[in-house]
Amino acid sequence: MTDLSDMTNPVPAVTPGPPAAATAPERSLLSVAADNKWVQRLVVWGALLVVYEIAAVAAGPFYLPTIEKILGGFVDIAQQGRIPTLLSSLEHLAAGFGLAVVVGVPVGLAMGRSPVVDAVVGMYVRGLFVTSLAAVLPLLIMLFDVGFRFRLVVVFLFSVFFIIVNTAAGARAVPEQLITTARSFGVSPLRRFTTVVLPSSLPYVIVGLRLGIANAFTGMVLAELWVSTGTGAVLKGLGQNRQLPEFFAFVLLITALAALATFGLRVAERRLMPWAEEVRNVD
Amino acid sequence: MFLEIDRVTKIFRLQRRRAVQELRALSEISVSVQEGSFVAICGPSGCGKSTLLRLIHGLQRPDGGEVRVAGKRVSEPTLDRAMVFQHHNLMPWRTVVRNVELGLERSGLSRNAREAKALEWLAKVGLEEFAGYYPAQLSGGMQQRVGLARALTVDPEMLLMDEPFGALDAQTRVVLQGELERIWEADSKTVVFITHDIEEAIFLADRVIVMSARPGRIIADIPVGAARPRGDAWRAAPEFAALKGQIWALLQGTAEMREPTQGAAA
Repeated sequence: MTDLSDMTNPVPAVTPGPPAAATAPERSLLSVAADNKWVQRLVVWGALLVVYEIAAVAAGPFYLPTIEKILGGFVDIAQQGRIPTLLSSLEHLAAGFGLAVVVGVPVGLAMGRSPVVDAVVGMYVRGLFVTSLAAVLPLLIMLFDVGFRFRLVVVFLFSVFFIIVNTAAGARAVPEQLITTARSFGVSPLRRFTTVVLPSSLPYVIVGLRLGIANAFTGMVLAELWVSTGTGAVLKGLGQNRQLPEFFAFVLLITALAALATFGLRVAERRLMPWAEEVRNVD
Repeated sequence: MFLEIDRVTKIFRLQRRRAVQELRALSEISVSVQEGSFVAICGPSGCGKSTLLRLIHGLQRPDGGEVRVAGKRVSEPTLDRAMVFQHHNLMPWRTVVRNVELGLERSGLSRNAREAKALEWLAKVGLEEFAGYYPAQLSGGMQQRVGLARALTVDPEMLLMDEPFGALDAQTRVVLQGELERIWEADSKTVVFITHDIEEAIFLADRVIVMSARPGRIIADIPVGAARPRGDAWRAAPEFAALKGQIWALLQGTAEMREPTQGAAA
């Protein structure tokens, strides 16, 4: 969970209090250290952990487990064989998200480039985008039963609209003069798609994928909570038995995996779009 | 004649609430251009000069009349007419050399041959060492030179330039005008150069065509006989100033004539 702060945890950015306090009058090693983002993170996260530990001690083990108990919880869930359960849930996640990418990117591109497709499909996509998908889960259970298909569909639905909406925004934002330029230099209509539309939309597609995968994790756990299988069932059991250290450890593990997935997409983004990287390095 | 613009009319239709308003951008324009000559089209903004260039290229089609190149009617952009745009229009995700290769990609040349050709033209515009850079890493003048190299790499018979130096600072503009003249001297292609800068037109062209605004019509066709290579001496020559004064007077005349011409067109 190295880069967690950039994606999900806004705390370091919002409360730069402690490092600012360290940058007092003299410009020394201390002020250099205070400008380092890892020092800043260490200070803020450390402070949060201390606050949490005090809260945990004050509230007592019935409400909040202390940090060393949570660390022990990691060992316990490993020994209780929870990790394979989590991994098999991830298989559902991968299948559902993969399907969402395969469907979402082409639909998004078509919506962004064709007013006809946008007029026909767009209104359903935008409608479902703002629908609470959690509310339709009982319907989905009726339609798909409680097995593999249901979990796949939930993950799919939780991620696909983010992918479609962002990809469509990217395809719509393709600079018209670049398409004209390609036409001017004899690039055929079909090849204009690969020479201009795809690379130009790519940054938006990646944003869609990042939002999509974060939501796919939500969908995965939610679906499993409803039908009491896999990771969701483990969480439910741990919560009901009040095995709080294990519960906290398990939640942190899922969060870390989601963060890792988005981080992986950022790495892919840098690999796929070197131009953006090199441009960033200019200033 | 190599390029014939034959009574070309272009009308834009603008949707205004329920009514459709017609805007006559060009009205029965006729121009002929000799092979190998450098023609500048000069006029106030909104006179339809860019539209005329797009019609010559085939990016748009006329509502009346036709454009012929070497006797053949223009209907689509082809690689024997290459365009340099006002904004560089380079693909930000391609390196400089890959941008210059754009027009060669359907030529059947191997990748190495395409690259060699692109590098050759990059060298001619003085940018060979920037081949691996991305467009955003270059200055405005360099981006415009890449755009020029991209157009020249396809070895067109005609170069169409749509105010290519319009967005540059005055100094860079003068440098690039000089370079363009040098390149044009070396392999004299037919050039149609759109500009609103009178000095630029007189410095570069063999012929300056002056247009009036809305509807775009040709009001003068002035030959520029100065010997080449021209260089800074021509900019300082009294004939240069005289031509500038003459064209300036013509353009001011169109501003005063504007009301009656609009009435006549309607």
